[in-house]
Amino acid sequence: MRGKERNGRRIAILGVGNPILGDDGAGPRALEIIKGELGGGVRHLGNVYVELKEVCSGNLGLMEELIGFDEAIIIDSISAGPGIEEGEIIELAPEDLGAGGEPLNAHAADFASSYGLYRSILESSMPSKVKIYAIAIRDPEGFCDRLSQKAEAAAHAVASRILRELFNGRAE
Amino acid sequence: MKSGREIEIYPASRLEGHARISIFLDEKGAVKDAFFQILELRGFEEFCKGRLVEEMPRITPRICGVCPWAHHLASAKAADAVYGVEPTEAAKKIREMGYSAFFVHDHLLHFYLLALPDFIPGPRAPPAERNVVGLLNRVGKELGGRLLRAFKYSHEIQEIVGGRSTHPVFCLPGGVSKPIGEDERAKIEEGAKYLLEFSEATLELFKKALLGDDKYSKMILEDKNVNRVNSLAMVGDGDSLSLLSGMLKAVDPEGRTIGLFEPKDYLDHISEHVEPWTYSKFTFLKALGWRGLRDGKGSGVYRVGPLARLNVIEKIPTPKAQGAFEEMFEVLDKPCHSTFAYHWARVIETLYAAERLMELIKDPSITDGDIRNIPGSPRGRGVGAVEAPRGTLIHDYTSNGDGRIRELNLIVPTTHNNSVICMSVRNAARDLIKSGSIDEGLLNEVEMAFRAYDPCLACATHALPGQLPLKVSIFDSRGTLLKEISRP
Repeated sequence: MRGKERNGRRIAILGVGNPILGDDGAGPRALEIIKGELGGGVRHLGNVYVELKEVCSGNLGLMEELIGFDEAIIIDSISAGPGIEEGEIIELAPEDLGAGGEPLNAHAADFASSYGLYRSILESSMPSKVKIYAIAIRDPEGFCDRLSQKAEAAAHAVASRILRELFNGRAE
Repeated sequence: MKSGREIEIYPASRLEGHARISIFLDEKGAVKDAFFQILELRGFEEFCKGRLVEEMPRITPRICGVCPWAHHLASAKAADAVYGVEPTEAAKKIREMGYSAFFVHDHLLHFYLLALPDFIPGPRAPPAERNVVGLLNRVGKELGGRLLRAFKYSHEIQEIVGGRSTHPVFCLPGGVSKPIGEDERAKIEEGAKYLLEFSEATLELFKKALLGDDKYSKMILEDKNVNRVNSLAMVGDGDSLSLLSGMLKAVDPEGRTIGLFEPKDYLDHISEHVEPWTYSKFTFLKALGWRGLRDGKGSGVYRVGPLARLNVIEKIPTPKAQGAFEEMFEVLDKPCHSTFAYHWARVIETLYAAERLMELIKDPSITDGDIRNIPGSPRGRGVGAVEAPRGTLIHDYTSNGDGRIRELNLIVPTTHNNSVICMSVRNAARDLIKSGSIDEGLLNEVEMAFRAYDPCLACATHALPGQLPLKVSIFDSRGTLLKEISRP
């Protein structure tokens, strides 16, 4: 099993969503932009190891991708609604996503419960710092492999922010 | 509904996707009828038209993040058929090895995270405890660590074989894109050993926790929730359990063979019925016809999935799972029609898949470099079928001369099971809701009936912030909302 056997900080950047469900693919799109700028899915920036992954699964599946990292940056979509405009970018921490302890289910397990469960069992093998970039979208109504203009713009904006943080050493 | 009251459970919890259960009460508060309605995204067929057949194994796994390997393999087999090419022996073994790792993972996930919390801490436990955290609080954190390690090993094997863990990309028409290296063999074998041991331990846990408990063993052994329907599954040589190749076989409620056909001929044997109240169709055996949501002799309704597979086969080609299979049917009638026996069948299949994984990685030819036969020209139509964890999955592609999709038909396991799921929910509701009396525990027991099938519905994955409230709406005979109960 993968562990924290390497020297230096390890950062996972995950683009979460389904690229064939319209704007739900905003996370993977942002990841694709970052990958293009970094020139690949794995990169060493000084003594910082950065790994980029597209993830299309629920929160429990997401947790498995975080094992062995010190920090994680997650790009996902959320539903726009009252008070949240389509295309808006919201920065969140795990504790912002509910108190945890609510009923867990494999596909829609809430992030806080999943993270709490994995942290309680795997302890230091899970990242202690997690930052979530949530892109507000309209709920997808059918299959489509293109983003709306608002989601595309938001994906670019998130990618720029993350790249700035990485190169300025502020990904913490 | 014109009379009585309507109770809605929406969304159904611990179910892969979104669905609604509607229970209709009569004037006296007894259950008049119940329906399992699927509210899925539509339009996948249209989305695929015009795309290259060879792209389909990479597109179809995106239907859902839950059973991507099953779609990848069914799609690859359909693409093989469209191009008229048979994969090499090494490619078949590599495909099956990756699929076995996925199968173990999927079945373990259902058993521990979805099914077991219904029994430990139990259906009447408060919702905040009736989940995997509550389970681990009862059985110990150590089990949680072992379970997560099993998931991790399985994921790593899937990633080595499939190129990606969640959405594999390795199958090509005629084979696979990369061989297994010697260094990878060692890693896979380490994981296979762990998964085999954990699968055996899971079967023992099932026996202790469910069969060893009076109430739960009665649910399984005394046929608490019974639907005497036909069973359909793929069979290999000698009617053995086979997940990736073979004929499709149907048996009637008494176990007599009523159909044996090549997957490509499924349209001659299976038809679809449409109801206005759900997006999902109802499949039935053509020879018997559609007679509504009815079981018993003469009904065309059938089940698929773990229990149907064990009902249809005569043997399991791995020793430990074969022993467990014999043990199960020493206790239960064959075929078995108890909804909750799905859980027993599922843990036996987990053991089978883990044994196959170990057999395949120990096969010296698994590292053979002959991994692909070069495909010919697209021939028109191709059908691929596999046994997904939840049941038979069929991909049917018709291509133009240039290899692009002209027509596409997918029949997923939950569509095959749609009728029997409705019937099981109705049984449970009738048994548990009397005189209009409803509480949270009762509703969960109704949900347990459909959860046994492990239904999977296409859905988006943006689970942030992850709230999944359970809403129960009660309406009077005029459709006026009388009461609403929400799960936190």
